[in-house]
Amino acid sequence: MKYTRCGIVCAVCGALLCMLCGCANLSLGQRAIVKAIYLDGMAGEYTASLVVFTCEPTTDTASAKGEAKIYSATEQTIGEALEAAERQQAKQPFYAQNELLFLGPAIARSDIGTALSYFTGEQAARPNLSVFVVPMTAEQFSQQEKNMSQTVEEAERIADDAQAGVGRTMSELALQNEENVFSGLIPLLQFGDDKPPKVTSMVLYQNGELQGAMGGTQLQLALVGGSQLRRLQFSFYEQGSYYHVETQRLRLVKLVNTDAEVPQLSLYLDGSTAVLTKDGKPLHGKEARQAVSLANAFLVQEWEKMMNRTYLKGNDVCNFFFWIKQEDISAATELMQQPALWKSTVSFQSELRAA
Amino acid sequence: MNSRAATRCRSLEILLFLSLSADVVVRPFATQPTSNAVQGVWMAAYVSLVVLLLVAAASWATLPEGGATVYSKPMLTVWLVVFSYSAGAVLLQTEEFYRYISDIPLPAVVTAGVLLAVAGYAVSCGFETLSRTAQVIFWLFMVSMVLLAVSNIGGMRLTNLGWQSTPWKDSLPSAARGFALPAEWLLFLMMAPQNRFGRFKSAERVLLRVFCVFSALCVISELVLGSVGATQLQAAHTLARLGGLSVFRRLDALHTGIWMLVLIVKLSFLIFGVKQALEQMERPKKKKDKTVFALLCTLIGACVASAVPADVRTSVGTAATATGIAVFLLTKHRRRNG
Repeated sequence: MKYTRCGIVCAVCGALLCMLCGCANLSLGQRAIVKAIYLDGMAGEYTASLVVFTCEPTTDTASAKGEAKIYSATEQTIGEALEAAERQQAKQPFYAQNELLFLGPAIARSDIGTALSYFTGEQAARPNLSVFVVPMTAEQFSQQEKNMSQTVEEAERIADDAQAGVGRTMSELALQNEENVFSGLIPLLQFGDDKPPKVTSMVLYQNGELQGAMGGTQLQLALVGGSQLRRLQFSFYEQGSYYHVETQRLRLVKLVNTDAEVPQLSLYLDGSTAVLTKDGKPLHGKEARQAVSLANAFLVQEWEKMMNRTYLKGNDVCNFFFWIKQEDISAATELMQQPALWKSTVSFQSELRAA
Repeated sequence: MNSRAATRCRSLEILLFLSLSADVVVRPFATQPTSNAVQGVWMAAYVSLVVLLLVAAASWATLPEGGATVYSKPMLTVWLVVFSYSAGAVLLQTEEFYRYISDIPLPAVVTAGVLLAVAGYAVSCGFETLSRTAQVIFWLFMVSMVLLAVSNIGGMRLTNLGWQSTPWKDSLPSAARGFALPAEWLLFLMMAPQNRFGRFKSAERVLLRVFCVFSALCVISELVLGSVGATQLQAAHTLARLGGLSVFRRLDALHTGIWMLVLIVKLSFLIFGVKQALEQMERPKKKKDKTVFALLCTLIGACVASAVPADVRTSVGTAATATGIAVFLLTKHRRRNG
């Protein structure tokens, strides 16, 4: 009797819990696992594409692979375009594994704030959705089905690679998108039939306007300045020779002086070289020290170029004001209102040493 | 305090901690977000202090040293109403949260039915069983909190932290607006050890732990999400969705499962309060199991709570609990004078 009662209780509880698991609704085979979204266009005419992987039913949707299919549609608003793209295929779209958003050239040029704010909504996408600008139109994108598996895989790897420091998630970008006006950096993903997917530069924005691509040493310095990169790898020509430098134990020391009329932030790049070559040959001793002083001078030049494109134009992509605020909130707040005074507020010195 | 009383006190502390923490990780929907982490921590400190003073005052004013508390019928009736309303509100909150995290939500009636069945079974098993289960869930909850912090380390940016540019006193009006007195404190007064100092220490320990959880969540939320964190409807859930460890990218499924268990503990604890109030109202010789009646009262409470606009639901709960404490004090005062 006691066992019968226990059995009934267990059966009822099991049945009740089964109602909560959602298995009764749709089987995995009836779902279209969306792995990436592409968006392009401008106000009144948006094109959305869904990258869907067709696969055999499996319990592990994270490993959904197979043939990629791209379904596209054009509508007046972003939401309508996405819904229309969903209707291009028969299955129920499943967005829980979608971690990539590709923005086409038109929307990246003119409507970036609107695109980001649409996906910032709590349930519109996962907050760890990684955003990339891709230099191809919707038509070109839809012809990339055969490259899509490799592209998605590589884009996910780049987004997760904390050491590269170029990945940007929606939650990070939401912070820089005040009132649909975006200022900051978004990675530029290049891929195609003849080239593997790669991020070599990032697109710079100021108040929603595209300022061009930033790459190479300037981009690395901007990322070091924003505490998103801990390693530099750069090359330069000097006196007819080709130098290549890779750093180790890199850190950016920040000192704030509030005694002056305008707060001053002094930055010192400290670290040593892990790789130092001249025309492909490793350098040691005195030669290495001379090469490092050239590298330091090169970094200062590149820093100035980077600052001219960002901070000195009123675009604080490296968050320098955070460090100034740490010392004097009111002085920093006052300074933020006057970009004309920013020129003399941040100084930079590179003090790399030969290993 | 003998070992049995000490065990009961510890169990009560864990139940109270889980119940109060449930509102920290699953913020009641339609509550006003705080502006930044610093202000949030200040507000939590003020609210905790006021609650501690209130509980201490109620314990000091009402508890005769060495004597047991006797409850009057009007007082128990008020408490029954308070517990029923609060349990109903928690039922609605849990259903709302489940709908919020689901891809394809279930009908509200089905979810509420399952939740009531589980909580009802827990209550019918008795306080000891409930508290033993709560101890297991307590450790699961702690693991969830640690995992939430660890899985988000990669996304934390020191530069996301906001600075308190206004004086700390400016947080007082916000703290007053966001003040909440959960009905669990009435249950605490009802079930805590019959010792003034013991009660104070218990309340202090629980509030300190809840304050630590809240502050940690505020700071992690701001480190990861910056100013956007404060505007999130469910900041902890957003953090759960963001975090990942190595190849484990869907940790939110694990977190939400544990938080649902915490919410069920909160619901069960309050329904247990309803049951206690119903049983205390009967003469000692005629006492019967009142679980079914307690579930019915919770259902009525849920109907009442659903009729109350969502943005004032917590305030109504606070007012009801304050009334419960006031009636408690008044009854004692009359008894002393009479």
